[in-house]
Amino acid sequence: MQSQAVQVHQEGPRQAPNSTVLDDLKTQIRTIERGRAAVAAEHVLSLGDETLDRALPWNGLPGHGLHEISGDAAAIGFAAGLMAGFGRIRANGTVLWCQRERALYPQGLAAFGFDPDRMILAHGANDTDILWALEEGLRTPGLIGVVGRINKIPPISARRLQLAAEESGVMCLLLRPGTPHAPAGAALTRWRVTAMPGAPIDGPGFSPPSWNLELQRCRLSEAGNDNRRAASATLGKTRAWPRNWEVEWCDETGGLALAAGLRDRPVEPRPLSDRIH
Amino acid sequence: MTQVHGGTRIAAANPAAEAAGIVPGQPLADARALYPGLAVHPAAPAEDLRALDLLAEACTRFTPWTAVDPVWGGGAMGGSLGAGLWLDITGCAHLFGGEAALLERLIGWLGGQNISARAGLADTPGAAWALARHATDDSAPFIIAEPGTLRQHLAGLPVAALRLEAAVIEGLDRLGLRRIGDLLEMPRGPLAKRFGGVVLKRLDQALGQADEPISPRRPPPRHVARLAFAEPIGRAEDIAAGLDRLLDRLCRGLEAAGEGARQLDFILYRADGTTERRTVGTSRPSRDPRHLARLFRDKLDGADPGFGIEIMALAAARTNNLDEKQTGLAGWTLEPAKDVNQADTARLVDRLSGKLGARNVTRVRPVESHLPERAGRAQSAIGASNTVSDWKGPERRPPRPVELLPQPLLIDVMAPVPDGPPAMFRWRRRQYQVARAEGPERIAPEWWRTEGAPLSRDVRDYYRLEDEGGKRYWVYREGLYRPDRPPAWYLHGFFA
Repeated sequence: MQSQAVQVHQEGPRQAPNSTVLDDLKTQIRTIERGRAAVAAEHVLSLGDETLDRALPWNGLPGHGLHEISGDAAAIGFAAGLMAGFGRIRANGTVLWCQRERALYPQGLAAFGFDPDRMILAHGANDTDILWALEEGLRTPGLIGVVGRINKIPPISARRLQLAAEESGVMCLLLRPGTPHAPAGAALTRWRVTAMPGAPIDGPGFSPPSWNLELQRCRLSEAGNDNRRAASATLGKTRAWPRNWEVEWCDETGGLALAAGLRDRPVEPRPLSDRIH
Repeated sequence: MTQVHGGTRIAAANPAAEAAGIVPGQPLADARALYPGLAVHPAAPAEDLRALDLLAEACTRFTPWTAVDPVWGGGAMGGSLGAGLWLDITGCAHLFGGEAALLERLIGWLGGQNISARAGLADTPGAAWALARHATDDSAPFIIAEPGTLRQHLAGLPVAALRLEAAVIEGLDRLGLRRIGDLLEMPRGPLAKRFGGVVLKRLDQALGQADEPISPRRPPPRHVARLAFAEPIGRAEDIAAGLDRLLDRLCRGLEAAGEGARQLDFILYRADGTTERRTVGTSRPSRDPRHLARLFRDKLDGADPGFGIEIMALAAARTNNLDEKQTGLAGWTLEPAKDVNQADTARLVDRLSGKLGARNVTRVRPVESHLPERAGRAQSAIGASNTVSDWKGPERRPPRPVELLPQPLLIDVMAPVPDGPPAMFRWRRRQYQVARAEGPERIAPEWWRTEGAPLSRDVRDYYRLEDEGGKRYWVYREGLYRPDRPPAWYLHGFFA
């Protein structure tokens, strides 16, 4: 497939630019990229809502790579929920959770379907130790995933983690407290999770955890950004990147649900890029 | 010198002092009269014992079974018998080319450390003790009693060789019993009557008619591999290469025995007589040389070869059965796929614990406790097995935060009703308006626990708060409401 692409490119200068050729090429490149990152369906986790899943080129969150989540306690809950989801997919396995702080509270994680029995908690003295522990974890095929809370990550380390995760199929979640100055460029997806006032409910108690979920970056779908803008323009709508959803944790499904306020809105048209397969 | 009843006396004397006529047990004044320039130091039995212990560790280069002889022959107790070490060389002599060669090496090596030593080798500890202290001299620093010749060897020795107290020796002396041979000819009855069982017991122990159990410093490992170098080595690569060879050998031994190592000791014997010991543990038995080598890799970083390493030894200090087929934890039989996973995870735990420290790599277990900070117990992941526990708690239990501060933080709170939830609180110089509150959940102190932080002594009323931005906090008011004192509020955790 690659050789084909090269051939077309060589012929390029002699021919007038042909939009169908270009489109074909783009399609081919996307197919190649998808092929490289091809993930078996059982390694993709549905976030719990179709709208969210469709926003990702894998139709869900792939379990074979590095994902960065910034935010405070809400990010911890989101990470615990994701790990719990993968725990259901991979029936046996352990989660390695590495951080410096000794504040993680297993009882609270259990509320997101996360099983603390299946967690190994490693406390590192500094970011270097944590990065080392994460990489060791990513080279252990029996794990569901590794979660690391880390302040600073050099680009080369992020790249190493992504490669290790891709190779072993172990998911890597990087928790970045606050607003990271230097995001991990190698991550497949980058999220920001912030708390949001919950929907008012009748009677005492709180609504389920409600977050503003922001997808700041997503590899592979950026190639389709131009397409998407073009498509949006033709539809007479402008769609902003990053993308934002107001979600709440749903105990019954063990996933996310769009917050009540959004649920009744008409379904957004599917972006063009996601129709190419 | 040492302080004993009746004044300061000489505890031990070096050869030069002995040549001047100074003997242990002598009052210091007498010794000073004999030799006014005598240099004296206070006796330090505790330090002596520590030095002996180090020496016993160093002597594991000859045999893994070593022990310190606790009978410390202080001069005041009559006659300097010197300090002693027990070495059980069963099965080790052939490594050195026979018993005589071993003892020669041992004495020579100790001499190299400026330690004058005598050695006795016999079938029983009692006889070896007697021979080392009473049958050797400078020209023949060691003596070996071949099997079956014990009586001949012992007969000519003074009764003091039987490790008897000075009073007993004196009593025997009064009866004209000066040699062990004299005792051997005596009928046992009268001896027992006069001196109690002690003389006969020591005699029997020396002759092997009674058992004398001695505990080694460390239990001798079941599997040891050792490597001696013609020239001391010092480069890190050489040490690593030596370790690889030892691991190969040890693992082959373990495989033959159907065992796996749970704890490995790697001992470096330096040329200057000191030793260095590095230990690694595994969460489940292993005899995979590659895995074990990785565990040692970080441990060896700080190893200081000093003047070079003469010998290195690798000992499996703890082992468990490890069958090819059934390699489950704690004897469970596991399905193959699951088992591979668990083996990988166990290896990961080993590596993490080796580098980060075993107490930093944990699994958490729930504990039945109302107090939130007690409800989980971190257990070192090495040794923790997979269990299924109840984390959710009772169905209707109020939610718990995802982060719990190890130390609750004191916060300023404004509550419109004294025993109601806060309307506003200040934390880290920022003000938070409470948009919603839920509570209280009263958590009573566990009066049956006496230990613990003082903060757990009072009743706590926990509230969940949501600020205007939607962030959720877990705060509590300490103590019951009292009109004379404003309540103390603490921030204890964060909800997702």
